Amino acid sequence: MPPHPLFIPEILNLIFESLDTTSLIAAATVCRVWNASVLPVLWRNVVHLDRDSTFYDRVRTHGHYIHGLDISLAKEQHVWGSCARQLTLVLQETPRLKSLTLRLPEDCQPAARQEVYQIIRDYVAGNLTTLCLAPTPCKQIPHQPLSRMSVEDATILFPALTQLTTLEMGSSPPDEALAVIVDSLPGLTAVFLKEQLSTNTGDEEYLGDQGLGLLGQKLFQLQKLSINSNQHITSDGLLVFLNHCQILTHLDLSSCYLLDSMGLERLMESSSLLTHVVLADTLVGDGALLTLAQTTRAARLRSLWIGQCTEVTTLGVQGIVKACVNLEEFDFSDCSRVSMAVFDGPQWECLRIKVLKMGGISQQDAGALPILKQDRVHMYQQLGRLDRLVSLDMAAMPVDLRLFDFGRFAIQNMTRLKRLVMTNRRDNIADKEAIWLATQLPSLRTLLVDTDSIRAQLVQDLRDINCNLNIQLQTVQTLDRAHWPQDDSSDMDEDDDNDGSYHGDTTFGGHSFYGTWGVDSDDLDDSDGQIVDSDTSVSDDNISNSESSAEDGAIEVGENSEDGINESDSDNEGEDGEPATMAFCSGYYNLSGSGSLPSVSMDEGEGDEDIPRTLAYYSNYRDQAGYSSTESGMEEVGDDDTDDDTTISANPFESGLSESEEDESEPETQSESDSLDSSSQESDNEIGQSSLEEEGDSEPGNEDSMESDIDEHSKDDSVQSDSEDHSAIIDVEDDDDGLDQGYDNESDYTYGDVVEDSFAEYFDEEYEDYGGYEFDDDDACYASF
Amino acid sequence: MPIILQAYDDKEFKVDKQTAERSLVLKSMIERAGDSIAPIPLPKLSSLVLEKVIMFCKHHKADQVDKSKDYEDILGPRKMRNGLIRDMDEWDKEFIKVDKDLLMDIVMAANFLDIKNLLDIGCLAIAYMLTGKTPEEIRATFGIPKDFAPGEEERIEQEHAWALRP
Repeated sequence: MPPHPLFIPEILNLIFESLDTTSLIAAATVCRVWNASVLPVLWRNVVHLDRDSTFYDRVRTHGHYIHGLDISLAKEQHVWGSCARQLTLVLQETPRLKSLTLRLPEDCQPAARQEVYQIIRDYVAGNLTTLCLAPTPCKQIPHQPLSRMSVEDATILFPALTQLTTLEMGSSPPDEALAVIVDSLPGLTAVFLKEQLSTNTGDEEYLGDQGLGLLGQKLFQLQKLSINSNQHITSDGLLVFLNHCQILTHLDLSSCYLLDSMGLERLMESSSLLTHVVLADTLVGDGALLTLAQTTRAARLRSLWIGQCTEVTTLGVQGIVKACVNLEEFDFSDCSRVSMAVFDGPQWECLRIKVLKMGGISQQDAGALPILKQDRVHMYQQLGRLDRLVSLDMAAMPVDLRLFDFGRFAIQNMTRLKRLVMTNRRDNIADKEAIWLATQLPSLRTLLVDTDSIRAQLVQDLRDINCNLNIQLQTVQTLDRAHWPQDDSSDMDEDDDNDGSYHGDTTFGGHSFYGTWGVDSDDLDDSDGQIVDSDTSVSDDNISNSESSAEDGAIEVGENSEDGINESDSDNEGEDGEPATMAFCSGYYNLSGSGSLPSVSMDEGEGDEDIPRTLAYYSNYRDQAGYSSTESGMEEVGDDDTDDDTTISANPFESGLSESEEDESEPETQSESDSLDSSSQESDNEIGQSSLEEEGDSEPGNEDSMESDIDEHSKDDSVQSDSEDHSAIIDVEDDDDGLDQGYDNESDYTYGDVVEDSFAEYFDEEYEDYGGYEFDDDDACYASF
Repeated sequence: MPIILQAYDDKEFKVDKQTAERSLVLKSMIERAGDSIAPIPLPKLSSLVLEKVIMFCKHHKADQVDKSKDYEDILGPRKMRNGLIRDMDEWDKEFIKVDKDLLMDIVMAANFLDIKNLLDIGCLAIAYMLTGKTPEEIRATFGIPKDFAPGEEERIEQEHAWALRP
């Protein structure tokens, strides 16, 4: 008999690597062989964020398994001694350590800090390929300016880190210290420097043009660069940088306000290898985007985030979507100069796109409403071709979405869609639309809508009907987007799909390179718990083990969704510190992520593939650093920062809100007494009506008249469904049945068919081309690379 | 020139070179043998398993060899619950929907023939079967005898408790 595969260590290792912690530990208690195989996997990446002192005992026996460590050192007099002492106890036991994330208390004395750096140098410096220095924000003195790395610190630490390829720092070092760093570490391939906005003012030591130039001059192998929210670097520094370094593949300069569009355009011109670009909240203009879309290089681009860029117009976005065939993530939300015209014209070619954020499209030059109707058709035409979408964000669109009437086929074509955001809608969500969303999209896991746009009872029912779907209600707010990313973790209670799940943070910070960018994001996770994670760790005073807080968060979410729907009141959330929905709406990239750490593989060195990077801190940083411990507070802060940019995009939403309120109030008086039965009768009637009309319209040739028909119908319908909205409260069970029935009726609905026809006309070839064309497409794309 | 693979029940399969070379073991055999390669006996594989393996290789024959590396990039700290951290594409998912015994055989074959992608998805499928089960259920599912001394199980549980501690 051949050996059983479940007793071969290599195979067990492969299996266990994919397991979650709970299952992994269950596997450990299956038999001895399994236990032996679990240990290295369990210990490979360790997060020590809690003050658990037994950790030091455990690390003594298992430290040799550790490849990646995320350690948070306690400042207060610990039973194990000072920071340096704590670190020594750990690092002396971890000979294989390759990736270290060190969280020092923010108010750590310079002497103590130097001591810690010495420990790193003495114990593990020779092996480290990845180092992240992330100060733990100090709760007691929240607004204390960050103490930056001094030249002395740099001199102690960096010359010893001979293998280091990735450096991440929570506060960018001033130019002088950076000079030491780049001199010591010519082999760096990735540098992530996160800035904290509040410390910029009056800061005497900062990273400026000189430092940026140095990065380019000294780091010949630099491929990934991230400098966030720096308000000192200008295009001058960028040009110096460009003169030397032109092999960047990953670039993140989000919220660097002083970089002008010319500089960014030059950057795009000279860095022809770029695959991942994050320029959200910058002055990037169409020129840079069109440069990215040049035929010689357009196929390289995988990820582009240009949310809240006020200089970007429809032209630039169109250039991207038409040329960048391999684009997988695209965010042009809240670009106030992008209009609905972006959906007009030639077909989008970015058919491999998985994540699309396009909320906040401007109403400005869309003109009068009749044009918008046309635009909506165009929009759904374009979206319908993007059948690989995993996450679609349509928050704050300037048109009524009318998903059921117009977008049904587009959305149903997205067979992998897991997350759909439709907040800040101008129109309410019709019951049939909600039911359709909840029942007919098997892949959908997260649906984010406005609290007021959907009947509470219906939400409850839909949650019962489709327990896989997490319907999140977002309280309507004008300022709904902090422009800072939220950190996520992915502990999803309800997530029982076996698709695997997205793993990694999706934030702007350094590790968006590994989260958003490094991931085969087929498996975007639809999680809620992860967002909550960041919030709990923000608001709790302990920086506890982030995995655990993720769990708590997830549980909270579950309770929320069970207990009631209207809980997403922002005040409550702010106080509770577990704002499931708020977190969602504020998160820039909160599609998913891990509760703890995304992983990194920086080079081909053995064992590197599993080194963790923990910078959950980064995205929490602003909050933790004491802007405000409440979520709503954070929101405000985020929006203060971007006020200028977002006011325009907020306006259409406000008008949308008032409209929808009116909509609601009218039918309420008319049809308060309507029961569900009568409404379904009504829909029967309408079927009759509209089929009559269809007969009258002998051929669906004239598209315009067809559409106006549709529109009229849908108006009727929206009134009708509003009446359904307000139809009486019925027993849950009855309601379910009724709803199902109603849905069935409506899915045969005549204007569904009419729309289908017109859609079929519009789409016609695309749809046909599209079926079964996936693999060819794959091959072609690989080949083209 | 087609390569002939013989399963242990003497059934022969003709495959093209590119397909066979998905297996690193076969690849090195083919390279050594040059043009005049004899039928390759694979006495450890039943025709049923071999057929599946060939089906997989055929489908993936044009893949970039290092495609699986993407997975490694995302391997990282694990989730607490309900989470496999990787995904496979639709075809693979359908392909690997087989009964447990065949799955084990496929994994063994992939291991033996050194077909990394197949081993990956096989292990992922097994991992999925393990997810959410108690140790007792796992033992029952896979027929694994419990070889712990009395008290050892509790000790191990305790030892790992840190990882689950909130």
